[in-house]
Amino acid sequence: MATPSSPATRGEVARLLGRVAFGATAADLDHWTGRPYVELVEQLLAVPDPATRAPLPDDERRVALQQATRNAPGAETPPAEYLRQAQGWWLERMRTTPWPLEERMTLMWHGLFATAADRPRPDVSMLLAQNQTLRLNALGNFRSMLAAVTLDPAMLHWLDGAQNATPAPNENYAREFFELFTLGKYPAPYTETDIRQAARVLTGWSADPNTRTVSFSKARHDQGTKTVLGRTIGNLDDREYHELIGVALDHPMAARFVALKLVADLAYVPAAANLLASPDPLVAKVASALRASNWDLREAVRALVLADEFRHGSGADARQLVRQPAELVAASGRLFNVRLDDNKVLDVLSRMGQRLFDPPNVGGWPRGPAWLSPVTELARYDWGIVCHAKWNGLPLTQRPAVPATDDLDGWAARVGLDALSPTTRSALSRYLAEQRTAADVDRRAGLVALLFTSPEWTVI
Amino acid sequence: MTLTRRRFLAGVGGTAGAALLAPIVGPAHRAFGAALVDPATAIRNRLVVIFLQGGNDGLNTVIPRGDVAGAARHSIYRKVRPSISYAAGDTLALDAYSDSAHALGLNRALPTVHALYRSGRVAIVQGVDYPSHSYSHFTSTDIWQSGELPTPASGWIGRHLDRAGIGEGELRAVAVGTDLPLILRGRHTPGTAIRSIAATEFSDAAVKGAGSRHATLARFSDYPRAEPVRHAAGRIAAQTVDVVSVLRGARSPAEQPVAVVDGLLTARTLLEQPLGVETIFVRQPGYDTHVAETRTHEPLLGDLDGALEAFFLGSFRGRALGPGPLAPSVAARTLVLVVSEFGRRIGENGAAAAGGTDHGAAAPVFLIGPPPDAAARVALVPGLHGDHPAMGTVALPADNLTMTTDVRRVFQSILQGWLASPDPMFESLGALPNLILTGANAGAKAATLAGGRAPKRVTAPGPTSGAPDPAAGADLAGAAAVAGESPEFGVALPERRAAAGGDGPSVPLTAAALGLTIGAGALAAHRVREEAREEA
Repeated sequence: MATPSSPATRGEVARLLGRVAFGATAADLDHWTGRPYVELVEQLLAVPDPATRAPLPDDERRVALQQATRNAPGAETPPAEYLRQAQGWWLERMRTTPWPLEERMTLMWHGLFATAADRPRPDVSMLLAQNQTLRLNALGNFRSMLAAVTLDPAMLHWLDGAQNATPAPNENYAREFFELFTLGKYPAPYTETDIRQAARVLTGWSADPNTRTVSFSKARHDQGTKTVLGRTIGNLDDREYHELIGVALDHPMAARFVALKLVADLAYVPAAANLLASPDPLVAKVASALRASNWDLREAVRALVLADEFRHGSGADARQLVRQPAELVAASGRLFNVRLDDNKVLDVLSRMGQRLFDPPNVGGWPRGPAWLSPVTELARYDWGIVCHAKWNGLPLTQRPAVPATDDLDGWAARVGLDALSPTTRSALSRYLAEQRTAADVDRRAGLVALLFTSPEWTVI
Repeated sequence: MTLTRRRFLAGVGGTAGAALLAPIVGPAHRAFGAALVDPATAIRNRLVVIFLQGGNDGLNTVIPRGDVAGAARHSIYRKVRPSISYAAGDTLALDAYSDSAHALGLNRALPTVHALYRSGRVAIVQGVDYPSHSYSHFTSTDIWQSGELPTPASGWIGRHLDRAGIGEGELRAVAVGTDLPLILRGRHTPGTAIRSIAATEFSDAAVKGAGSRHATLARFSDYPRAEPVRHAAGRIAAQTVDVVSVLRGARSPAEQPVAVVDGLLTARTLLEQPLGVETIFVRQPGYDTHVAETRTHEPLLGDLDGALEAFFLGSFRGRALGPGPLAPSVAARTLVLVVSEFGRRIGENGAAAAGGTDHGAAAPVFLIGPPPDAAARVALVPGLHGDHPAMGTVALPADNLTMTTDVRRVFQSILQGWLASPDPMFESLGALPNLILTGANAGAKAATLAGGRAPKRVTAPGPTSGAPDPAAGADLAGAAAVAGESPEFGVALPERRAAAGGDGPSVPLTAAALGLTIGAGALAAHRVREEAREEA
């Protein structure tokens, strides 16, 4: 039985970095293998407080983009172009951040609190502001995050919180608050009545379309007493939503639900289960950490990655993760020093099924095997071709070295894998043999595309 | 065709291993050839499922345009929807057969559906839902794609694929979109997904060595089953190579700016070629109309109607798109099913300026079949089916529409009647008695039944009725006459619709009159957001 300080295997390093830090490099694999596993975990978790640390040049670019997109209506740049700029900005942030775990968690929260750009004129400024809100709370406290998200201007518009007023409340946010953000349906511990009561609690908020200032109107707020999940919430006007968050998070299902979301995003998609009666063991551990720490997300992530189910997760138990497209693209950008803020990259990512700031619906993107389809597979393959071409086009001084094309072990490490399976090795060897007379650049392009579609790179 | 051939080889000689696969995937096999398609394709019935994602407002789709004995539907509807209801004259009356007695009308954004209805090609099943309704988009979507209660785990088309025993990569069931939806996932057999026909190709297809590279990709399917997720990734790699191979050289329609139109044009282009396609799934998102429904919902239905116009007529709001009407031989074997994960609440929410509707329960389902043919051995019975859900009283309106027909019976009707593949899971519920008829004289019986259906009593919801009443049959001739206007495809063309008259809306049915342009749904949705922002 491994302890946190027992030496990390090469596979554990590859898996941990592949799941929570946009992938390992060959240097990561060499450096961390044999060192105490917990040291790598602590290094990943050592993210300075985003509220007080000095901003990165990247943060300044985001603020500038936020300003530029603020008055998009009537501006010369089409909003769709702003959306592309924001997507490119975020991918570059993922590629270059010194704190990959924070960015990975921001991506996770974007998937959970999925908020999309309205078409055809997305308000990119609000989405970038929400993105920073998610980053500020990414490894913070889930209770604070929920409070911030509930009053986030983009969310107030996306789930119609800004349209929710007495006497005919709009249920949209209240329903998703329970179903998608706090309690879920495994099984659902709330009723339709709870949703209607919660909608009443949340009446009265709006966000100014120009300044994005959020305000509360007493006149639009339901002043009556509400009963949610069996608890009474008296009128507290603009402080009332904190009570609702408290009632939801106090329910025994809440920690297990949020833990389930963390596990499904960072480790593997657990088998469908009754979360109270028979939770997945890793879900139970992460839920305990959430409760014990009063919803500290850093503690939850620590418990998650230190757990045996994560660290020694076996493929035979299906404790494996289909990597989401943005992670694959960010990981390859890191590996090959390829910039990600151009339309070609964004187009391939879109074909893989993921457009940042534009999730398909309120439930965000699918998880796990749902990413596997012929459509996304073609795009993953093409991404290998595109990524190789971009690397190949770099000036020699910026082009990171790669192994000889026939060195499959070298290539496996080069893309952050601890090893190739015999099946994949055999297929790739045969390919290289068949193409031995082809130009090296073409053989290598094909090799990268095939590595990027191999089962071991797709599923980690 | 690789998979079909692979399966064929497997059937003859035992296990088809990688050695057999290699020569098939190479460039020599790029051209697709009908000879490799399952010969049954040519005579197989086809099904297109359109899923209105977000929860389509059934009450503003099939609209109560008058009160009927025992049910003041129109009065209740107008009362609880002060800002988002339609006056009777703003709807397209459902007045074929004996349906006018029900005093219902289609949303005015559905002129193509209305013309198809008058041509005897549309069945509308009212009040469709499942027991213990869930108001969750996700749970309800899963159930509508699965029919499996309480825990949806496989799709109702996917289980049909299981029973049919098709292979991976065979294009029997196709989703147009990025992902493979639950509906096409069997317990053992998945369907496939394509974004479009043209996009189903590798970017390096023309680069030397492509055959070798793609054959390598297909070999990832040998990844050991002991690791199921990675094995699944390997299988998808092989399936991708197969699908690309099948579609290489296939005809592809010009891309359309409205996604659902593009999806349905892709669907018909797949069906018109000998590719082995039987079932197609197309999704139209955007129906979660919590706010400002008057300006969001109707343009969405307009896009849907335009997509159906493209599918059946080859035009979009009167403008020819190129392919012309759906080939009669295909039309005669194609059924279109239009569903959504739930309807919406009877009453509107919010302030009058931005009224929308929250998640509801039962809603109508549309089936659009072939032109009436007395000689058909499988036939859809057009017109209204099932009972309209109760709406309470004017003094005390109901909050929600409750189920009068179980959706699983609709599925079983299609599976049993149309695809000849009944699902044992639905056996105890059974198919609806008179929705899809089979056997000798099915077509003639369907016509009689449609024309002869007596007006249904609407006072109390009960088991689905639809027993023929031989005494009434006056509308049959009228319906046949409308159908006869364009015998080659059985749809009244747009310019003929106005002439068809009736008591439809007071405005001529042109795109301009409806205020619709291409992409109107998306534009209107945005306008609403902008206005809501300003109001807030």
